[in-house]
Amino acid sequence: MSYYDVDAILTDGEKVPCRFELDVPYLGHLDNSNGLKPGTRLNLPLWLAEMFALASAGEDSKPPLTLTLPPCLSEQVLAALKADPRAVPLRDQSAYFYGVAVRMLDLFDERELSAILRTTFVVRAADVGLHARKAEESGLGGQGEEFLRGLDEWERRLFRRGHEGVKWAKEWTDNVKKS
Amino acid sequence: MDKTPAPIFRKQRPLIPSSSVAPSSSPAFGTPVHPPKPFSINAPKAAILPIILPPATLRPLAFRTFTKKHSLTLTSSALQELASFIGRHCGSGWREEGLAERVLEEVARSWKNRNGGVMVEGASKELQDILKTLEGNMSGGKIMGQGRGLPRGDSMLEINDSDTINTRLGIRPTALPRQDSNVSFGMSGLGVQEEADDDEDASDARAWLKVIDAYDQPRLLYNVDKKHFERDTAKPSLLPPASHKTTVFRNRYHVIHQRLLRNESFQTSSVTSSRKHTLQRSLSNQQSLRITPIANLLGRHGSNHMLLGQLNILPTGDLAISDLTGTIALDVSQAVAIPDDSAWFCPGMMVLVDGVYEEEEESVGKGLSGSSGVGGTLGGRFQGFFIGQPPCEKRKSTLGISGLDGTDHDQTIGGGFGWIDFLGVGSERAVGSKMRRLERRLLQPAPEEDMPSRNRVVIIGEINLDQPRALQALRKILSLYAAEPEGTSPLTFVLAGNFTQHAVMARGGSGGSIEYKEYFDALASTFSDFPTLLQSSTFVFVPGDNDGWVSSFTGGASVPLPRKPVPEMFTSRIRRAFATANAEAGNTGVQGSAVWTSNPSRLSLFGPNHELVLFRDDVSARLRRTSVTLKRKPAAETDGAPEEGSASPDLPSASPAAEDDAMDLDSAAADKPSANTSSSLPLDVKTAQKLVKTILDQGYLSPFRQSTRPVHWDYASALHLYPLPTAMALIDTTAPPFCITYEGCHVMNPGSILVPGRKGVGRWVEYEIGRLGKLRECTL
Amino acid sequence: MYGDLGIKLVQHAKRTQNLAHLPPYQAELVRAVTREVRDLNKDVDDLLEPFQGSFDPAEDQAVAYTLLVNHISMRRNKRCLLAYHRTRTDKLEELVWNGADVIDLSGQQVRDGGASGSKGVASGDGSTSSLSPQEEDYVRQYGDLLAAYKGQWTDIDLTGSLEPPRDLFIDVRVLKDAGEIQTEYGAITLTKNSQFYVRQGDVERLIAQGYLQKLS
Repeated sequence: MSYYDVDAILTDGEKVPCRFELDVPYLGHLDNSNGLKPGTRLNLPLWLAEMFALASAGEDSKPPLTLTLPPCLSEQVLAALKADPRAVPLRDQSAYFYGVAVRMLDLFDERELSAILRTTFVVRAADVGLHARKAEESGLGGQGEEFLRGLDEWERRLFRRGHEGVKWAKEWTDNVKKS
Repeated sequence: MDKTPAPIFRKQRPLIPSSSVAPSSSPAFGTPVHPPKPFSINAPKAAILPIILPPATLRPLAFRTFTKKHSLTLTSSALQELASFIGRHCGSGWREEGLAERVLEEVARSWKNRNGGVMVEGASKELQDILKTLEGNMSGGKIMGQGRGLPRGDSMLEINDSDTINTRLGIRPTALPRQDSNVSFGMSGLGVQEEADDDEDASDARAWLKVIDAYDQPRLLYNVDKKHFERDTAKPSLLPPASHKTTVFRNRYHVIHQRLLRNESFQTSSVTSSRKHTLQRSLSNQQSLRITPIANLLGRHGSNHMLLGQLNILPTGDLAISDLTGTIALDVSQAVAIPDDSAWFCPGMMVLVDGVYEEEEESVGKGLSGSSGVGGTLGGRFQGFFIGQPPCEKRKSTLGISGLDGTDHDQTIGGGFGWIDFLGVGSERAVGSKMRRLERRLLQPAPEEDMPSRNRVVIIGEINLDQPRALQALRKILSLYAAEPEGTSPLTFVLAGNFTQHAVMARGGSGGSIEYKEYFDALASTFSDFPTLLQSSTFVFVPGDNDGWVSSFTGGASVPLPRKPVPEMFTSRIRRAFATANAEAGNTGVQGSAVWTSNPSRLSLFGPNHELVLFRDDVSARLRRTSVTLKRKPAAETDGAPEEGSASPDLPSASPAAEDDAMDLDSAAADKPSANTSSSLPLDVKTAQKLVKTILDQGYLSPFRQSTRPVHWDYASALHLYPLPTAMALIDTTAPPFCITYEGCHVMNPGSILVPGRKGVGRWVEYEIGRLGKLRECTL
Repeated sequence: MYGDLGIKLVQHAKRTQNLAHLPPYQAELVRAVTREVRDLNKDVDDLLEPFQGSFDPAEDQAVAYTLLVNHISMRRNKRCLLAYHRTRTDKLEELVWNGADVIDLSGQQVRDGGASGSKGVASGDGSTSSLSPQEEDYVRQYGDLLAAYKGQWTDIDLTGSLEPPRDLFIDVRVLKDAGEIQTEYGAITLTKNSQFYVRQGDVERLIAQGYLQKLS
């Protein structure tokens, strides 16, 4: 997660719902209105929302903005993940599911969320590894493909690494065998 | 056989390193190789006995340098060439003294700079060029010159202590200016010789003065997809196929269009659009304007649009505007120029028109008038209410130079054409700063206000050689400059035609070819009286419409542009005069010379730093003749009568019949604002401003119809004024003389050399390079 | 929305990471992002103008938040621009280490068919290359740097293959006609489809450049 990391930048671009507490007349462009009244709900990108939420002016420590969890981390999704992590296509929720979740965890303190995510990741990662190895052989089966389609960015990278590793190892053994 | 030259043949080298080792006179001894000094001052050229070097001997070394280090592959022919070169120029010390290494390194780097490809062919032109350039720099087997790139190559091979301090891991010292890393030893593709102090040529600023003939200028076409100018590689011809005519129009349109879209008013920005929603602030009141292509007007009766297109005349004589998508008849009788009365509008110009589209009521067309809606011409009429020139763009913005003069925060993000070499002298980004440094060094401005200095260009207007007074005036002017202290004579004298009063060789009053030659002979004798000027300045001769071979069939009418220089046949004596003067002086520096150039042509001083466009044309007269009549101003209290009387035609007319009205009315109209409004500018200045604004906004030297002022289609790009030149000499006898700066471009007009209406007065313009021009007069 | 152009640029960067070659430089997009930054800056200046240097965030919260938004947006755009250029230069460096020449890189153009085909390569106009002129300059300088670095030890080829060779001499077939070329200890003539048994060190470079094909 460095300054230059492309994935980090794209993760930050994800939108999260926010609610304005204060009246900010000049920011009407954000939702095409003439000004923002307190209580307006908006979807702002993470990079903007995070800064805003952490800002506080003077002694008045009420931030102008409150963040809520994005829909990809809603109760429904969490319940589904608790039930069976493998069945939930994470990519449909958000391409950067884990990335967004990590950022949210930085902002909020949600023990339960972190626990769920950890188990999800571990279980899915095992599956990803399995698919990576098996990808060599044909006939993944319909369910396998669906699973692969639902991978988010982190898992995709993992898959690619695993897949390439297996491939290179095979090439090397073939090479050794030849000569 | 011992190939080392005997000591008697070797000159002693005066540059002795500070090491305590006594220099030995025999190269076979371990005379240490001095780390080459960065500025070689007057090193004597030591004699080197050439040897025959078999390629096989050179092969390992060459292989190492070329293939291993630079990833280039050598062919046998290339190796042969290199071997003979090194044998010839490095002599026997090629191996021990590392001379061959340096040469090979230099060749490899130059090859890469010229994008030679991975295979180094012996017969290739680039290799020959490189070797030739290198040859000129070899002396004593070593490469003389900057040596700036040397530490890089050298410290790889001999890691001296002093070098390691500066170069860690062989990385070049940080003191080196960045852009010169491409220019090894100061030799780049341009063949630019840098700061060779032992070369007197380079200390004369005239070495950097280049006169660019319009026929030699690179022809650039704008590519809309890539948003870049590309060179047109097809061979130009004076009789090209008809498709090239369209290309001229399209090119002009594209250039103006992209320039327009970059203008602030035409840009949408998320910031400004957001401000629209707020009620309070008036940060950006300007709404972004949008251009509508003409074809999109169809079916939108009564809607308000802004069009960008070229004014032209339909076959029936009506005015129309056309862009890349279509044509539509235009009515400007109700249109007002924005800003008021600031520019001319003629058919052939690209203009912005704001108005309303009116469809035709009846579909029974007027047939020929072109409003029948077929063949690219839309039916209906566009009623214009506001007409204006496309806004101009400063040279700095076009080239995308930022922060040159310090703070330029309000500058638009420019076109970024800084890497394009418009004139063939190097692009702004590539050589700009180097040239600026050179200029600062070689051409200092005058220390005091009135002291004469070298950095001047004298522009003399129309010199009719068949008028004896003109020659007298010229003589007076030259004597004025000859009388100045030495070394401060101006860099250049620009002498403009028409060199005869009437068209020569056209049975006019100015005679035929014999008389023509005699005129130039008279000029030559005038010149020979001023040998100092002939030795130290460059004389540039720009022809007019009455000159040269072309006049014999145009008879004084508009000549197709660009037109070729005055033929050599007539100018032999002048050239002889120059040669004599220079031979007498025995000058080794850049000699004074006479340059016969085309009309228009450009003067480039220090590469892209200064671009002076020279153009001799009676533009104002043509503008007045062909201008479009716009809406009359509502008559003011007292002077309503005069222009009401002269019937202003309802139809916008560009036919010559109504030109009198146009001219009178405009001058009358010009008078009125000065009476009504508080503008107190004299008429002359206003006329000049109008002329300059028109030409520079159009970005084209001849924005007229082909029938009024023909332009060779293949050479039209030589007439473009994009990017805006730094200065322009628009020599126009029908306009009042002026020196005006507009959008950073300084336009000067000296008028003709003899002031009309005043007896015995000569007039010219003295332009201080980079600053302003000054009108000067003298009495005969 | 302010960061949109930046995101587009970063998406281009992401695509670049996965491709083998370098897609064209998005000059227009870069300029648009720069323009946005400039406009934001102008906005900030205009907002602060009435205050003349003494601005209390607590007092006028609305202005303060607008300033914050503008500032963060500018930082975001800057980050996007830098990341885009960084990915591209990383890719360029990788290509140079693998032995690509400047010509090859700028020659990866979208060739428009027919008429303009023989326009020549990188004639200095920077017209159709997939690199911006600054990138070309960067590649050139980096190449020079690399050559200088390699030149210190010409016995080993720092940019060569990391695989140890199996034999000293290898069989190669010529793919392109190139005349007679020089190797370290002799000359070989390259005519198409001829085969040679040559020292590996000599021809490694040529294999990488596509003139020879290794036969195993």
